Parts: sequence; structure tokens; C-alpha cells
Amino acid sequence: MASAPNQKPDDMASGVDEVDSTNASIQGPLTSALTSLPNDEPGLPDHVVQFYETDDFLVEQLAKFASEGLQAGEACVIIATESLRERVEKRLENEKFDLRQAQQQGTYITCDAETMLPLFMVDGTPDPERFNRIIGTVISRAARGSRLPASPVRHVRAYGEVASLLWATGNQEAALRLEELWNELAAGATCPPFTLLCSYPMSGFAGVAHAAAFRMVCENHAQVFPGESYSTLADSDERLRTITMLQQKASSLETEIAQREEVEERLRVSDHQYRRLFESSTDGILVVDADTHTIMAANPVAAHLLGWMREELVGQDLWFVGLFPDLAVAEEVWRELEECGVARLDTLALPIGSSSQMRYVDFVSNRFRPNGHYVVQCHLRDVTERTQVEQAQRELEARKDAFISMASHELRTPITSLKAFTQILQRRAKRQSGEADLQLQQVLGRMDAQLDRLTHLVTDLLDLSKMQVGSLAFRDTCFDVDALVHETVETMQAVTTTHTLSAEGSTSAHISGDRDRLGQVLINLLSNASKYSPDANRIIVRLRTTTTQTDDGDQQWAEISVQDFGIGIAPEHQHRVFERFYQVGASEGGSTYPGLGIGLHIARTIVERHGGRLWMESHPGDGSTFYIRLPVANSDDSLTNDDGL
Amino acid sequence: MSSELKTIHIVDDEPDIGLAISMVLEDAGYDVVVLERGADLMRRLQTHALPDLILLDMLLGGQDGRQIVRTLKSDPKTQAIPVVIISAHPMAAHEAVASGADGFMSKPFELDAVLNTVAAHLKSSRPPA
Repeated sequence: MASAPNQKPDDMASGVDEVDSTNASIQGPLTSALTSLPNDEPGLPDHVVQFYETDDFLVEQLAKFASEGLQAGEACVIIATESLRERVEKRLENEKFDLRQAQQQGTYITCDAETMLPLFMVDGTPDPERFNRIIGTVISRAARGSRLPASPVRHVRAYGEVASLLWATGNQEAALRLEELWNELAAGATCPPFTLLCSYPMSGFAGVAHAAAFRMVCENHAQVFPGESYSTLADSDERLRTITMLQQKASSLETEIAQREEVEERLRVSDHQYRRLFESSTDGILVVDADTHTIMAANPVAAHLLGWMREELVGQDLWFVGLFPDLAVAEEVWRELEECGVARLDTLALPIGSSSQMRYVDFVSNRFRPNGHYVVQCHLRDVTERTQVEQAQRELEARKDAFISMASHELRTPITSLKAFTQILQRRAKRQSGEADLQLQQVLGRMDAQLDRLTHLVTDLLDLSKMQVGSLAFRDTCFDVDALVHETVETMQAVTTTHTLSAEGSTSAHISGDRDRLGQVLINLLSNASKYSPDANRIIVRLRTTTTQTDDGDQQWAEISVQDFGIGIAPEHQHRVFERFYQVGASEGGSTYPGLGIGLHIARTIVERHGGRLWMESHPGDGSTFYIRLPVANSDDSLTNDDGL
Repeated sequence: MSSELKTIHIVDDEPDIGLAISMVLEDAGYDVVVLERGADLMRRLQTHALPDLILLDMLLGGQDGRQIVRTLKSDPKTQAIPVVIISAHPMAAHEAVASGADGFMSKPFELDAVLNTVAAHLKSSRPPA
């Protein structure tokens, strides 16, 4: 070991006869500082502290402290734990000190720190009077020497581990108080002069929280010696470098601590916010261990929805708290979570208490791994009100549907009677002859036509109502488009005297759909063509096929167009004629053509239901053309071929 | 009326419709019996000579005409009688045929269409055993 730079060689060998002085190689900053100063001069560092990083270093320093004192003819008092005492004494004996003799002379006194501490502690604080009496006695005895009453009073070197012990147990206040008591004892007149060495492990001050207390420990001592990583440096340049590096390290640490504190503060705020969200969420939230399904956390709403006390719910197995209707559902949810990370169940029914009433919740869960272990976060949303509204809505719609069916029957029945009677009268009138009867026939013919009109209106209104409740029925078959068009044109021609209807072209295509409904669409377009071209006398129906490209390949379409040569539709009305209740002319307050304004709306709905399109082109004054485009059925469509039925 | 007159039973809970159809069919030379309920028809079939054709309303005051058709068509005694269902539901044709009816007419109907339908089914029906 290198010698301390400021050590005076003479001091090392001064006047101790009874101990061997061959251990002059034991040196260090503490011992050199102590030995470099005459002990009886005022202003001595009579209370020093040695910080240490390893016990070995403490043993070394303490052994030097004692050996130098003994060599100088001073007395030694060591108040330490048994293990430290044993190690120091072994070290001293290795250096040929005759400790037994020193003990007999009363110049070497050891005390067990752990035994001594309780002797002067009262309610966790060192009692000044007891401390002065006990420690004062020990110091005085060492100063006088018990076996040699005539000897001069010796200077005492004392080592005390009691404050360090208090610090280690967390009683920092008592440790600081004890340091003060040591100082007071040294300053008092009753006790012989002594130099006190205290020691603290550096590890006892790790952490910013200890900064203030550490400063106080330092202030309580006349001289402070750093731990071995600095104390053992012999070269002054090396020490300067080390201090500089320590300063840099301290500065970095301060910055890092500030940054960490900022991050921690943000985390605290964030944690607080999430905690508040969790606690005050109107959804029930559960955090569940993915492996054991154990509920790790539950917010108040989750507990309320499941009908549990919150404290009881935590720790339960989620599969058995009444959320899932049965175990198979729970297993299925967990399987889905493992495969997809997400699982949801809609409208789970939960009983409310012991009543027969039910509460409904939507269940959404996510599986994730926040800290290396999978957890499942579950959200429960109370949808009772919505479910009840939906149920009521379904019931209402079912009633509406039933009403529409009934209304259809009830409205048609009197029309049927009226129409039948009108036709009977027509037949009977025909059998008569004469001008008056001819007029009667005409009137009856008008009545019959008006009843037909009434029938169509009733049909349209009922279809519209059914569309609104989604109960308009379709019966899909695969049929020949050309045949349907020709058949419809013929039927309409039979009842149309004002216009000539012609069909041109062909599709030679079959389509899949409801033949009657699509026939209804064609009738609507032909009726409109006739209605809106009062001054024209022809209507042309054209048939053709066309192909468009889609992602799945080419799509063939059957296109049917109905062209009239009538008044046409102004551009501003063209995109609106398919709206429900929309009538051209009505918005301007002008005269309108008869009708409810629902025919084209129904027609477009039917065409779109078949995956097709219905649109128009028109030039006011030249007439309009309506186009229907329907997807041609694939040859492998296996629907019933319903041609001609 | 001669004994060769074809007999037609009309079952409709709306008396005016029964009356109107019967007037035109009688004018056309058929022997017509108008009944208001399904039970009336079943009773008459047990106690009287079988008709050549039945015109049956689909909804008979809560009773389902299709069920009557199924009963008639499952009984060897009555299964050969042509049954034409008439209904105020124009889209009910397929359901009517599915129940075993031989024909369907939607209400309201043209009387000419009634006469044509009746004639067509009488012509195609098998002669009574």
C-alpha cells in the first residue's frame, strides 16, 4: 500500500514501547490526517467520519486507526459489532500487537455495539444523560488506564459503530442525534480528550432522498473521509481527475434524475388519468389473467353489472361469475382471443339479482401482453335499453307487417265486389240495345277503369309499406328476359289504345329473380311512357346485352330500355324522379300528372334488389328513355327454371 | 236445368263476392252453390253430390283455404275435384299451388278471366269416377 503523501515519518514511530512498530506500511488518508496532527492541540479533528464501500476497507482503516494510537501510547476504545471487532483484532494481532496486555493495562477497551446501544436508548432516541454516563465512563477508564493508577492521562482514540447501526435500522434521526451527543461529550469538561472515528457504509446513502441527511452527517463531523474508490488514490493528479469525473457523473445523474422525475410525473399523471377513466367509465371494465381467467381488476360498473361486490369479484374466475351462459361459450371466447386477439359477444343476458328481469350487455375483449404476461381486458356495455327498444321495434314491425297483410285483404275485397258487380252490369247492358244503354255501357266502362286504377294504387301503397318494413317478398327463379318483355308488351298493348308498343332486339339471356316483380317494373315504365306522352303515339322497348369488367371477370347484363316521345323531364328533376313521393311539377306548384309519386321508387328498389340498375335519360320536349340493367344468370345458377309460369 | 249442368261450389266469406261470381257463372249456364265457410263445404261434400269445380277463397274468416285444399286433395273421394284458389294477396299464387290447388286467381279479377279459368279447369279435369 502506498504511503499518504502528507505523512510525517516521525509521527509513525513516536513513543510506544509496548507494541511492535513494524506495521508502518498501513497507511491511508484517515490515518495520515489523524497522525499528522498533535492530539493535544485545540481545534483538532476530534470527530471524524470514514465512509466505506467494502467491509475490508473499513477493517483496514479501523486497524490503522487503532494501531497508530497504540503505537503512540494512546488508549483505544472500540465500540463495534462482534464481527468487526474480531476482524480488526485479528488484523492487529497479525501485526504483532499484544492486545491482551493492552487490555490488562486498560488502554485497549472493546465494547459490543449491539449490547451497548439499548443501554442508552429511550423510546427510540439516545438519552443524553445515559449516553454521557456510559460512554463517558468508558472513555475516562481508557484515559486513566485501570491497572496503572499512577499513569498519566492518555489521549483516547475511540471508534463508535452505534450511530451507523441506528442508521442501518432506518432510525436516521436517532443516528444524527447520537452524533451530536458524541460532539457534546467531547466538548464537555467531564470527559478526557478523545478522538472519535465514526464510519458509515456508502450504500446506506444511495438515493436522492438521503441527500439532506448525508449532508447533516458530514456537518456533524470535523473531518470527512470519502470511501475507498477515492481515499485509496495516492496521486494528487489522479484524485483531481477522479473528482472531475465524479463531478461530471454527479451532473449527469442530476440531469438524469430531473428527466426521470419529469417522466415519473408524466407517468403519475397518465396513471391517474387512466385510473380515473377506469373508475368512472360507464362501461364495465375487467382485467383478467389470460391463463387462469382470474379477475385482477374490476371497476365499479363491472361489479354492478355482474351483481357482485367489487372486492369479492377480484380474484374470482371470470368463467364462473355468471357472465357467460355456459362453459362452452367461455371456452370459445378464450379460443378466439388466442387466435385473433379479440372476441366479442352481443347482447349477453344477465339476471338482475334474484328477479326474473334481465339485463343485457355487449361484451368486447382484447388479449395483450403488457409485461411479458398475457392479460385479457374485457369491456361490458349495458345495452338493456337499446335491446328493449329493438325488441319493441321488432314487435311493432311484426304488427305492421300483419296490418299490411290485413289491409291488403280488406281493401281488395270491396274493390273485388265492386268490380265484379260493375262487370255484371256491363254484361247486362250489352244485352240491351239503344242509345241510352250505349251511354250506360260507357259509364260502366269508366267505372271499371277507375276500379283498376284504384287497385293499382292500393297495390303500390302496400308494396311501399312492405318495403319500409323490409317484408316485400321475392320469389327468385331463373327465367327468359325476352319472353317476359314480349309478354308484358302484349298485355299492355291489349289495354292501350293511344300508343303502339313495339319491342326491338333481343338478349337471349336468362336472369335470376322474381319474374312477377320485374314484370311489375316493366308495366310501371310502360304506363309512365304512355301517361307522359299524351301527344305521341308510339313507345319503343329495346333489348340488348352488354358486358362490363369487374374484379371477378366479365359481367354480362341484360338491358331493357323503354323510350317514349313525350314531354321529357327537365335536367333538375332527372335525378329526383326515383325519390319516394317525388312528382315532377309539384315543386313548382304547377299542375301534375295523376299518381302518388311512388311507382319509380318501387321500381328502382325492385331492380336494385336484383343487383341491377334503373336509370333514365331525357330531353325535355323529345321524350325520355328508362333503362333497366340486370345481371345475366351464370349457367351454373341452380335456381328453378320458371319460364312461362 | 239439365242434369248435365256442371256444378261449381264457391266458398268465400264475403257474400257480395260469392253473389257476383255466382251471377256471372249462372249466366254462363253453370249450377252454382255459394258457401261462406270451409265447414259448410266439408259438410255439403259429405251429404250431397260432388261438384265439378271448387272456387275457394284463401282466407276464410280466420280459416286457411290452403288447409282445406290439402284435406280435399288427401281424400281419395274428393282429390279429383279441381280447386281454384282466389286471394286478395296477388303474390300468393305460388303458395296456393304449393298447397295442391289446381289454379289461382288474384282479387280483384276480370269476370272474363273467371269464366276462362273455370272453363279451362273443367275441360282438363278427369270425369267423375
